Amino acid sequence: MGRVSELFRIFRNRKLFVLLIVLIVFAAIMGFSLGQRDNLTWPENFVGDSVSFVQQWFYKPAGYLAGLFEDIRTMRDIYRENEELRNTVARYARDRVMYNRIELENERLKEALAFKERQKRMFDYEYVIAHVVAVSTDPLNPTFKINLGSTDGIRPDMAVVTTDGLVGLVSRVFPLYSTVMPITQLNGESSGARAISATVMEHKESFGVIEDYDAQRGMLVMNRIAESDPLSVGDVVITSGLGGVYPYGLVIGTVETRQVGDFGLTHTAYIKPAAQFDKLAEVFVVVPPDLGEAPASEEEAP
Amino acid sequence: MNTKRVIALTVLLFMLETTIVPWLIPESMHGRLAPHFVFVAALYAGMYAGRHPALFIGLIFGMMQDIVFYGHMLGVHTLLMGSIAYLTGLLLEGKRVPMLAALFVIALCCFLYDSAAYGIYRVFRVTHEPYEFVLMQSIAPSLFLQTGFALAAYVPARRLLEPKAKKDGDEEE
Repeated sequence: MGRVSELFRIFRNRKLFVLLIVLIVFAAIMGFSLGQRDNLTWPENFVGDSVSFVQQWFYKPAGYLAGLFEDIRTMRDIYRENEELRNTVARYARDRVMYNRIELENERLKEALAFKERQKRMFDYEYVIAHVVAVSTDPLNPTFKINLGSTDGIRPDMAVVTTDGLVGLVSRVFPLYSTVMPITQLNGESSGARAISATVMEHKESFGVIEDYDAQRGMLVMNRIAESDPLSVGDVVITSGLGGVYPYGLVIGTVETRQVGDFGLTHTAYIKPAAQFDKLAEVFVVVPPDLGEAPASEEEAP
Repeated sequence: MNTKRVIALTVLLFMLETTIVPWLIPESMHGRLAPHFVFVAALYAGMYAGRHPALFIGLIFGMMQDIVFYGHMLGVHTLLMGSIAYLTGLLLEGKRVPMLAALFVIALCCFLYDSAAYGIYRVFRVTHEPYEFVLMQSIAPSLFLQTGFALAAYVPARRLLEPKAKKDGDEEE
């Protein structure tokens, strides 16, 4: 008993004692919540969903208003843009004819080669539109919230894109809303590191792994490029679709520089992201087809 | 202090800083200016209402921020907002805090808050940027934003939070 009372005398200042306990509890919570979690507990679900439900009433009208002012300012560019779009549409109409022909032929060849049903559906990725409802204020945790959740079939680590390119990966999924972590938070050193295997549009045989973001240069880092790889500056980097999680062909960015990597064996390229990360209103979540079995859960580096 | 009105206004602030303010931040400052208006409100509560309301506001809204934008991990904002607001209340509760002193305390606390958040993320290896870079990139500009907001909110915050009886004594604002 004497020992115990002596111990308490050290913590005679009750506040210090409470502070210690609080610190320990919070360190435990942080450590526990850091890793991958497929299901959240009900208090988290309740708070997350009900707050986001209110946030969506604010975010969208604000976006419309901001867009209105933007429109007035950019009125002069619209004529030029219209001209460009007309050219693009003409090109699109031409390509469409070609595409239809090739698709039909592709179908026929698949039949001829007796593709299994599962193989046929392997690339049937679904692009589900989602509205952004709120943006985090923490610069080191810059997630944003979208209005699709686990009840809509969203799972962690699905790719999120805009019309410009890959924006982020779904981070945590609540029943009605989910948080998206921008790809600017990719970090090879963290415990739950994600990696995106990538290739370039110009050379199909190129391969590299994007698993890091250099905030000081504002560029993604693509590692493990073979020395003989034809990848060069100015190429458009796209997802390679090799892991089965992200579909083939999502635009990530353009190659800015290429140099010999840290260990001298492989090359490293810096990639300027194609997508904008601020003032997002609508994004698309890429839902892989349900093939009956779980696809490779993570795109691991080879 | 009108508790209901304070809570309603703080909820409104939280909604503002997560939905409307991001649209107002210019593109060049994206990812650099971080509004922490609710944190400023918690600090004002610590200075003019007492340490317990401050702790309450800090914990509740920190938890909201943590859970709603759950990306890397939970608990960072709950811990920091709660503890810093409580500490401010503990040190300054019941003292007369004029405007310049209040602004100085808020700037100091915002610096502490952002730096401690960076420290926690660094310890858990969520970020690997050097501190000098983060300091210049986001902590310093955000500090000015928070101080500007604190200046704008000083009079309404004090009117709202200060106990009625004491107010007759010092009307120097």
